[in-house]
Amino acid sequence: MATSGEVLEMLCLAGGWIIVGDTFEGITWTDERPRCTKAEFEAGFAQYDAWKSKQDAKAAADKATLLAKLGITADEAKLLLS
Amino acid sequence: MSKQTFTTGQVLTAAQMTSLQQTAMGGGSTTAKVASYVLVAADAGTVVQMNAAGATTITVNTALFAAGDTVQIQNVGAGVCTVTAGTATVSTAGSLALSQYEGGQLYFNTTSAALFFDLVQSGGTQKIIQVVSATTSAAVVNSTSTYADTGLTATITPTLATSTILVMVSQMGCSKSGASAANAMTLKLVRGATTVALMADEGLYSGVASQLKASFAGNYIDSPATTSATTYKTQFFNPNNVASCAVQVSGTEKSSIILIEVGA
Repeated sequence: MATSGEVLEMLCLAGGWIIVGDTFEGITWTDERPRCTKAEFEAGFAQYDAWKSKQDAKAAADKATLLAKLGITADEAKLLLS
Repeated sequence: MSKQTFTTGQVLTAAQMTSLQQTAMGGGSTTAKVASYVLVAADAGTVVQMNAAGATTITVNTALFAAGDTVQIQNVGAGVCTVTAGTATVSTAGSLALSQYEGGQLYFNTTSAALFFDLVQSGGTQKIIQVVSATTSAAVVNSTSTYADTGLTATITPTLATSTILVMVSQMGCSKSGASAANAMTLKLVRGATTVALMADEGLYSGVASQLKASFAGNYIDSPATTSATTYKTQFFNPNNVASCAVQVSGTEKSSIILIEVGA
């Protein structure tokens, strides 16, 4: 189950919010960055897992593409960064 | 017996002699009090014993006692009893706030200046006067670079302006999300609007876009120099101003704050 912070980060990645607890009423919008509606927020809990899987898959694909372009394996990349 | 003036030729009774002996041996008649009390002249040479559940005061005024007079003060109640300077001055090396089963001797240097010899604190030994604590488990998530309250807060009303406050903070379930490699969390302890301590400056920073969880704890000595209600709380923000950081992130971690007033 997603947390309220994860859902807000999915819907309003640009930030500009503070949330206390798990309800839409607990959100404080601190500036004019894009906001979500209460309906979007409440629906977001059911959407988060699919969104996160998609994000993780995209990140993995991007990584694989980059490694292929560089012609090295993931372990070799770790070695370079160590 | 309370202090009195004897006259030439006066014959003392056995009861009077017994009472005098008792006073001379450090005892004396005891006046029990159950509420705040203002000392009167007849208290000279006696024991004033407070027994109240709530906080009380024993007030010392001028022009009632002569130089050399003494009054023993005891507190047997659960409430803190504070020896308070009214129109007279009261000086001490210890504490004027007496917890249960503490006491001391009030000695009048002059009719308007008294010394209080705290039997517990002579020598300046410190003692715990009161303890206040609070906890919270409510998740708070902040995606901004503006400080937000973590929900962890406690208020203490110091008995003495000279007291120090030992603040013990455990901020649990601190987390930075994995939405940004620059994400981090800054956490501080404040008294009112005054920063007492920075507990984490860009804490949890890893330079990698992955979630990190940890807890922060710290113990701090503060001197608020007041007897007014004083609120301590923690605040945090995300210096990256995007993505987010959180406290009590799962809504189940229990953060705690403990305030201990230590008498000077």
